[in-house]
This record gives sequence, C-alpha cells and structure tokens, in this order.
Amino acid sequence: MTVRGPDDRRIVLVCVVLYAAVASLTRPLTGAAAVAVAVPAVAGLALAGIAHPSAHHGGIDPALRRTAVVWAALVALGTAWELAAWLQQPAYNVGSYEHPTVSLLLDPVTQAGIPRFAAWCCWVYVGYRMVRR
Amino acid sequence: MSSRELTVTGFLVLAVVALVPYLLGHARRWGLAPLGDVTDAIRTSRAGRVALALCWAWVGWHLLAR
Repeated sequence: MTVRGPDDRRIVLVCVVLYAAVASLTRPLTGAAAVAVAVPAVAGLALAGIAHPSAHHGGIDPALRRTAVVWAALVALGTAWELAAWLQQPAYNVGSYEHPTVSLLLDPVTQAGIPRFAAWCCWVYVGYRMVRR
Repeated sequence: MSSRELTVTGFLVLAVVALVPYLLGHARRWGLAPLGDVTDAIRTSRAGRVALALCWAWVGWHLLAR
C-alpha cells in the first residue's frame, strides 16, 4: 500500500474514519463484530505477507537493538500478567471480577458509543501504518 | 490488597513503566531509540511484518470483537 501525497493521506484518513464509524455500530460478541475485525485483519495480514520491504538496513543499530530488548521484555511481562489473570477466570469466556483481564477493564471504552468509535479509529489506523510502504 | 486491586495495580504499573522507554526513546536519551524506529526496523523483513500484523489483528479481535 503506497501513499504518495497529502491528498492520498486525506483519502486514507477518510476511509479509516468511515470504516470505523460503520464497524463501531456492531456490538461485541456478535458475528457482525467478528466480520468487521476479520476483514481488515485478513487484508492487513495478506499485505504484510506480500508487500516488499520499504528499506534495507545493513546492520542493526545498537540503540535499536537495546530498545527492542526493553520493549520485548515489557510486552512479555504484560502478556504474562494478562495470561495469569485470564487463567484464573472461571471459564475461558467468563470474566472474573477478582482477576480482570485488560479487555474486561477496557469494556467501558470498547462496548459502545464514541469511545468504541475512537478505539476502532485507532485500531484501523495502526493497521494501515503497519502495512503502508 | 484484594486480588482485583493487585491485578489492576500490575497493569497500571506496567503502563507507567512503559512510558519511561517511550519518552526516553522519543528524546533519544539513555541510548534508546523511538519506538517507531524499532517497528520500522521490524517491518523491513516479511516475518517481522507478519508478526506485527498478527499482534495487531489479535488486539482488534480481543478488544473489539469479543
């Protein structure tokens, strides 16, 4: 996916907002919400798999390596904490008040309305940034 | 401290701790690079791009569909 100028960027932003507006009307735990996530997710995965690299790096900069290690450690810690909470739920799809997962804590934001629309905008835009050249 | 408070505190601590490398990287202090530079470097390989896309897809599924 190649964006050439400010006009193209505006078109992308409009598409992101329009898609997020429609997708945010879906209710969580419904087939419509699953399809709304699956469409950009499959497109993003396909583009990630077929797109050519945007740049070639000869060697990895030490600062980049150090930063990657720090973020990898943080992501691993967050994943472990989330997994620990999830494993203490009564069932895999039943949340626990005593051991809430991130998704349970973010339910007020991601359930409906403007916050859900904003969350959708962020998610679709991040996906676009990941697959753009 | 209840189990709930402990669990929530853990997430909050992680979020606050994550701000440190984010801000230091943004300012290029302590030998850290901006997070965007790291993801750009990861995106130069197909495996890296697919891994990032999988993480992104999982976050969307987890937070927006279920």
